[in-house]
This record gives sequence, C-alpha cells and structure tokens, in this order.
Amino acid sequence: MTDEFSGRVDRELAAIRPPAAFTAAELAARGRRRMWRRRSAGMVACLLALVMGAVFVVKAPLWLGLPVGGGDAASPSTSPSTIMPAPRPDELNGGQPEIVLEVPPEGADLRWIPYSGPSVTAQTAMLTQGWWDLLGSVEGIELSRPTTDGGYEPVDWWTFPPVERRTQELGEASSGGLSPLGSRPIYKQQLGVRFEGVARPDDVFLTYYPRGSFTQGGRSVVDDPLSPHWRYLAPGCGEASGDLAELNVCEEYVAGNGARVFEVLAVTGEPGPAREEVRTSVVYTPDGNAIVISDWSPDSHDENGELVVEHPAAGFTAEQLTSLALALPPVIIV
Amino acid sequence: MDERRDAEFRRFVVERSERLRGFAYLCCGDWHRAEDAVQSALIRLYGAWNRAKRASLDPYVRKIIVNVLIDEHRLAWFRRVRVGDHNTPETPAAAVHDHTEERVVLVEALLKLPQRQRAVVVLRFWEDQSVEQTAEIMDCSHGAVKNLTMRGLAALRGLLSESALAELEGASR
Repeated sequence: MTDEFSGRVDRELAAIRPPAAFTAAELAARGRRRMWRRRSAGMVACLLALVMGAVFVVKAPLWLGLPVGGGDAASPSTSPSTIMPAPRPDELNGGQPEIVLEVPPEGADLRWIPYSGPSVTAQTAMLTQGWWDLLGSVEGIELSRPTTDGGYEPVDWWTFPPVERRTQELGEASSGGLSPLGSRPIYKQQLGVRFEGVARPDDVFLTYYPRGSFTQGGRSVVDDPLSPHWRYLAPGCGEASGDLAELNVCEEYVAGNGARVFEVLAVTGEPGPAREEVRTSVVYTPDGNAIVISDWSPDSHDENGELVVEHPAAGFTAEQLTSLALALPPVIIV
Repeated sequence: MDERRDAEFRRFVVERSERLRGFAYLCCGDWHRAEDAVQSALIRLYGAWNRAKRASLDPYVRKIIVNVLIDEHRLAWFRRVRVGDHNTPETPAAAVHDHTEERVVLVEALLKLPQRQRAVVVLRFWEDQSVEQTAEIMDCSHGAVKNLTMRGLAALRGLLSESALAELEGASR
C-alpha cells in the first residue's frame, strides 16, 4: 500500500512542484535572529522584573501605611500566603466568565481548532480524582492508555491519564480571510476502557465546556456526520447513504437534578462486521457548563484501513455515560 | 557550537526541505502556504535544534508544520514569511527533474478529501507514520485515525478512475 501510493504521489508532486524560494543559509540566518530576539526579550523581562521588585520593596511600606525600616510586618517570615480553595457550587457562576462569540458570516465553515497545549490545574486535578473514583465503581471494565506500539496498557492511579486544560480557537476550516471569532478553555481526557469479553478497548473522551460557548442540542457539519457543527457539542440526527451510510439517533430529556441531557448514538457503516458506533452523552449542568462523554467502539479495521475483526457488542450505553456525567463534580472552567 | 549547529541544520534543510514542502502542500493544497509553513517550521527548528536532535528530527519538524498550518488556520490570514525571491535553492538535483508529462491524478483526488481525512491518509501512506504517530500529530484517538483512514481511502476510491485504481490496485486492496 504505502510503496504504491507513495511512489505515485512522489511522481505527481515532482511534476507540479515549483522551485523553493529559500535556501538553508537564509533559514539559518533567520533562525539565529529569532533566537537572538527571544533571548533579548527574556533578558529585558528579567531586568524589568528586578527593577519592579526593587521598587516594590522600597515603596510597599509607604503604600501600605506601614512603618519604614523593618519590623515584624515587613518580615518575610510573617508574610501571608494565599491558597485558592476549591470552589463551592454556588460560587461557580460568579467565578467563571461567560464565553461570548461574535456572530460569524453566513455560510462560513468554522471549526474549533486546538490552540494551546495541555496543562494541569487545581480544577483539572480535582476532576481527575473524581473521574478516577467514579470509574473505579464500575464493574467489568479495565482502564488503559495507548502505548507507542499502537496497543494499550492497563493503568493504575499513578499512570491514569490526567484531565487536562486546553484552549480551542474558532477558525475557518478552509482558506480565507476571516478573523478569529473567539476561543474557549476546555478540560479534556482520553482513556481506553476495555470491557469484559472484548479484546480491544473503546476510546472514551471526557470533556468539560464553558457556558456561553455552545448551543444546546446537536448538529453535524456538512461533510462529516460524526463531527459536531461548531455551535454544538454533539453531532445531530440525520441520514447518509452509500457505502458509508451513517445513522445518528438523538434523545433529549431532563434529568432528576434538573440538568438537560442530550444523547446521540452514531452508527457508521452498513449493518455487518464493519459497523462501528459512537455513543455520546451531553449533560448541560445547572451552572451553564456542559459535560460531554463519548465512547468510540473499537474500530473494525487494521492499520491499513482493512476490515479485520467483527464489531463487538460492548461499551458504555448512552444512558450509562449520562449517569457518569451527572455524578461528576462541578468546576469552574477558566 | 553555533557553527556546528549551522552545518547540521543546513544539511538537514538541503536533504529534507523538498519532502517537507510536499508534505505541507498535501496538507493545505497551496504551494505558497506550504512554503510559508515549512519556512516557519524550519526557523523554529533551528532554535530547538539540540532538543529536537535528541528526539528525532523528522517527527519533530512534521509536528511543527502541522501546528504552523493550524496556527495559520486559526489566524486566518496568511502572512508571507518568505526570505526573498531567490531562485537558487539548495535542493537535491533529483527534486527538480522535469515530470510535466506525469498526469496528476492521485494528488488532485487527495486534495478533494476533507481536510482531516486527507491529512491522515497523507501521514499514514505517504509519510509512512504509524497509527500512534498519526494520532499524536493530529491530536486525536487511534480509533479516530483508523476511522478517518477508512473513510479517506473509501472516498479516494470514489474519486479515482478505474484505470487509476487499477494502477494502485496494491494500495486499494
């Protein structure tokens, strides 16, 4: 596969490739200038910080109305330290700004694009603990994470993938001159969950979205029934035809605690061994945020895209995903 | 130190820039954007040369290119970072052979695929990346890579003529 495909693409690219407009020496020179600018900026920042620190040490007692010249109040050993406590549920709306997005042009093809890399915060650490505790109460599953050789390995608490903070920015999916329309922070984790009697794990994604950054319900992008339209957190219900028939079944209801729930079962492929399922539950929590848990069944294809195994009838149901989401702790997403 | 870094970097650029330009073009379908992305990636690579060398240069720079293209997407304007209008590239001689009689069928079909399907197919079958490596670059799951691969290949089969498919029979079976 690779040799045939690669050779053909190589020949075709050679026929249409224009000459390069840069040389290695020029790029090295630009690389050196970039490094110099970055180092200079770092030194200036350090210098500014030192100056500001010195000014603060000299002036702070005057600003704060404290006696100048030492004393207990100025002693480092008595300086107060502040540790941010975990938020109470009644604090959530006050602590978290609502994401407000501009109205995009009619017909614009927009997608959320990963912007900043993952990081761990106090909020995500709390979620990691809550998610671990919750999954520990589910019987008949083994938690795992991907390995470098394409397989999975079981995880314990120490190797459990943490929930991480990332940011996404709204951008146009094809080339064009559109300005960015907004960004949002999300908390996200991916996990392998293997069910009893099944050789390979499902991929389970947990994601928290901040209030104001989505519309309730579901809708798919035009060319991809499995991917949500940018305003939504789940694909919508529609039909597709042909060899890659896809079926999305949606259900909406209000849970016992007043949270709205939107569940989607997306099926790809005709009935048979190539059939694959994605089950998604979206819980719109009372604080305005949303928790999305989706379960992608093990795919039925090998690394070359060829069909190799039968589709297993396992995995979390949408109702189970909803129960898990409803049991997760509320957090501030910032 | 700097001289050694320069020499290693320049050798890498000479040996790999054509392949990287091809990769970027297959991702975005525009030679100008591809060239900008490769230049940005290589300039960033220069600053991270020692760190990248300890890992692996090719995967490192491919990841930067994908990120640069995503950044470009995000910003939605295409700043030109061309060094100049030089037409004396330091490229391997084989890269400038005249192949104008070659019919551009497969690349045209590839460029008609949805962006993510195209990127996955290019990474898997042109760059020969594993599912794991592709998932890392695309920031998605193994299952999503395999799903996109299956759908990308199926879409390619629909876009290619019988004769082109026959030529690629090894690839489509």
